[in-house]
Amino acid sequence: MTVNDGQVLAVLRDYISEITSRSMLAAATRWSKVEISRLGPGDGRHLLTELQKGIQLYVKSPMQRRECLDRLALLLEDAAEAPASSRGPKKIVIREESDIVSARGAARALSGELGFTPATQIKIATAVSELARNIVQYAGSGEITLIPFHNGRREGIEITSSDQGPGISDTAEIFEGRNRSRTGLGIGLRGTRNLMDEFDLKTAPGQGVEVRIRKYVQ
Amino acid sequence: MSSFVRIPIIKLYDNLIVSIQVALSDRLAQQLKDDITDQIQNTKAKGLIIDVSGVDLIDSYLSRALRDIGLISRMMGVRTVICGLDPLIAMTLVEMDMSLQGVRTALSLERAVELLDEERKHQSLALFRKPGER
Repeated sequence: MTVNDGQVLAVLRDYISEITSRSMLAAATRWSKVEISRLGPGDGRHLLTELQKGIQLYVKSPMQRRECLDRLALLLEDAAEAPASSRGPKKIVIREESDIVSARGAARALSGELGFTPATQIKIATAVSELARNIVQYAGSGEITLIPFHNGRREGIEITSSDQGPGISDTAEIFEGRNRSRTGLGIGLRGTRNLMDEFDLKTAPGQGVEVRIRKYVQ
Repeated sequence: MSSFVRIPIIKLYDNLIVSIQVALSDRLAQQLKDDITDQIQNTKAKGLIIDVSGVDLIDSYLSRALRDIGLISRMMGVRTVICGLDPLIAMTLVEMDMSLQGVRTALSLERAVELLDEERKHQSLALFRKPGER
């Protein structure tokens, strides 16, 4: 099956203006060096990657964005390989320091896909960085899970962090700012709570720590 | 393991300039702390400028590391200015209730150099004041 410019434009026009659609498609074909009428293997995906950049910018609602990308992927016959596949829950095992960097990278990428503003993306990535760091520093190993959620009208990201470390004996102390650990456990957890919409901490001495935080897309 | 990657420290006249352009891991932050103190001693620099415009995010650990570098340098007689802080990162730091206490900040590298210059001028003038004069 061959595709032509008109078909791609028809999809784009459902979400953005005629003129933006045209220039976005022109730019995407230029950058991906792909000719729409003669798609080779993998070309559809290249084009889609370039189109996605524009769609991220111009299509405001995450729902619409996803729908638009799905339709384009179908059209370009590469549905199986389409990007935007990382929307499922993502588990990151935290064992060493370099895992902290990958965890916050993943958090940032996912929150970007979910439609969070750049300012909020940084907040989410910072919160994940704090949680991951606590795992490495106090428990040695653990895991962080990033879960996009959608219930009723609200959409957002839920992040859980769990470890089997020594746990925290006095959580009140931490949140009142009396804890002045050498590494700054209190500051990190307090900061994380300030950055998020929901914050839930479960811990007991010897029982590890489990933190669940949420941020809603505005 | 990986002490191969290092952040370069450049001496320019009286100042040491450090530009952080990578995601700063804890190990790298520690390495930087050590390297800066070595360089201060070796080069007899009078000021230290840390450009963080390339940093993707600053969490509590990193803000503490930056503050520590500032405090250590001050003990060695060197003033530290941090410049190029991304506005979104600054907002995040404020919301987390963290501050870079003890270190001055400047909008750009140029402003940071000016700030250190002005301060040195001020200090050398102070040497000629009579006791009790302000």
